[in-house]
Formats: sequence, C-alpha cells, structure tokens
Amino acid sequence: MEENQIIERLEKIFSSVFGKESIVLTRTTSAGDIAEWNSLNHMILISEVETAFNLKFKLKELNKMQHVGDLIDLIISKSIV
Amino acid sequence: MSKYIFRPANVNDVDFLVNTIIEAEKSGSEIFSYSKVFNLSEEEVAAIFKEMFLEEIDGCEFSISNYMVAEFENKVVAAIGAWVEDKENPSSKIKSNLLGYYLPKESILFASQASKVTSELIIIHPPGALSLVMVYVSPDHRGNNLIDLLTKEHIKKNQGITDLAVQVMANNIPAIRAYNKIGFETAQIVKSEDEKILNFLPGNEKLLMKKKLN
Repeated sequence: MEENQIIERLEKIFSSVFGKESIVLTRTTSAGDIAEWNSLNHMILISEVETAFNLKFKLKELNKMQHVGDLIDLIISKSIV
Repeated sequence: MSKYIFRPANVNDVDFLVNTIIEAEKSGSEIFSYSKVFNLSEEEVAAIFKEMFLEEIDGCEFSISNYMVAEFENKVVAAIGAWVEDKENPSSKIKSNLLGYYLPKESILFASQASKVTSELIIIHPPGALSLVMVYVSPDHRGNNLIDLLTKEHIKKNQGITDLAVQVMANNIPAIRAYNKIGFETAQIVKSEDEKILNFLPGNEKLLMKKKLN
C-alpha cells in the first residue's frame, strides 16, 4: 500500500475517533496538535487502526511512536511482512 | 510511628499496588471508573492491571518503579505513585498504550461512549512538578501522617524538585483535607455539567492542588 493511501485511510479513522468532519495529517502530526487526542481516544485510535489495517502492534512499537510518520512506517513494515 | 518502614515498591507489592489504583480511582465512592468506562468487573480490571504492572514499563501509574510503599509489621499498608512528567514521553501515552494492549477490543470500543464525557475532567500533569498520582492508605493506618511521609520519600528520590501536584475529585473531602493539612492549595478546578459523567466517574468536578517546596 502506498503512503498516500495509508494517510487517506488514517485521516478517515482519526476524523471518526476524534469526532471531526475532516482531519489533515502529515508525517509530523502528533498528539499535541489535536486537542481531542487524549489517553482514552489514543487507545481507541490504535484499536481502530489495528482493525482497519488488520495488524497488531507490539507494546514496544507503540511506546516508540511519536508522530503520525512513525505510525505510517509501522503500518508499511507490518503490511510487507 | 517508628514502626513504619518506607521503601521503593517491588514486584512482590503488585497486588497492593493494584488495590491502590482501584481505591484511589474510587476516590472514597463505590464507583470504579475503569469498570464503568470499559464495561468490565472490578476483578477483570484488577487482573489486567496486574499484567500491566508486570510488564515493568516505566513512566505511568502502572509502573512499579514509580511507587513508594510503607510497611508495618512486614505488611504493606500504604502506597503513593509519583513522577515528574516527561513532556516528550507523557505518562498518558504510556498508560493508554498499556491499557490498549491488554484490554479486550470490545472494552475499548465500549469506552468510546465515555470518551467525550470524561475528557472534560482531564487535567494535564504540570511539567516539572512532582505529580502524586495514586495515593492509598489502609483504613487502619489513616491519621498516621503516612501521605506526608511517603511524599517526603518521593521528594528525596527526586532531588531538586520545587513543586508538588496532586489531582483529587472535589467530593473526596477527606483527601482534600489531608492535602490541605500538608500544605497543598487548590490551583485549578475542572467541572462537567454533563450528567452522564456520573455513569463513569465518582464525581463531576476535579481539583488540581499544588504545593511549593521551601
């Protein structure tokens, strides 16, 4: 899957979880950029991403994640395997 | 008083730490937010908390290394969790990753109905301050100044700290009195007018209390 396709799908998931009409994501977007990105929503978001891309993140991978770019890279690496 | 021993928590204290979180979250009420938010029994949540503690990941309230405990006659009777918030790696992220990893998917989906309501009571841990996060003293040992003594142990562990912070539900009057007694003052109040919040949390108002160290 191409990076822009992943971003497109992530934008839909983010919009749905954070209750916004639309969200524009870049590789540098992080929790600090979205007011609704609190701890409970973070958990829901990760769960929705795992379901949508049919993958499961490791705890270590989640804790290393700082930006949306890290999430994209992880999705790509897990989709290849 | 001299019969109390203060020490960092270790893996053998996990059951007490799990109970500390449950009691601290109940905040003197019978409402356990984690059960309500994730639609799980207290026993189910306790079992998940235990697994999370045993991961031994630092940086949040599910980290053994963040707790100091008080022992009385070889039995742990009180615990306080505390840390200085890392802005780059916030405790909220570490906690939600742990919860998300261990909670059943259906519980996480269930939590989405609580998310909007409970978000009104979120207070960020003040960066640079030592945040006391989970505080519990067994009923038989209350009134023995254990909160103050355990807090001092955390201060010793975090040399150079000048500010302390603690969050407490506004209806937990005994806790507020205890913090006032040792010098904490209310610095921020958050309140929700949404009645639904009482389906998930033990109250609709929360305080951030702070104390400046001399």
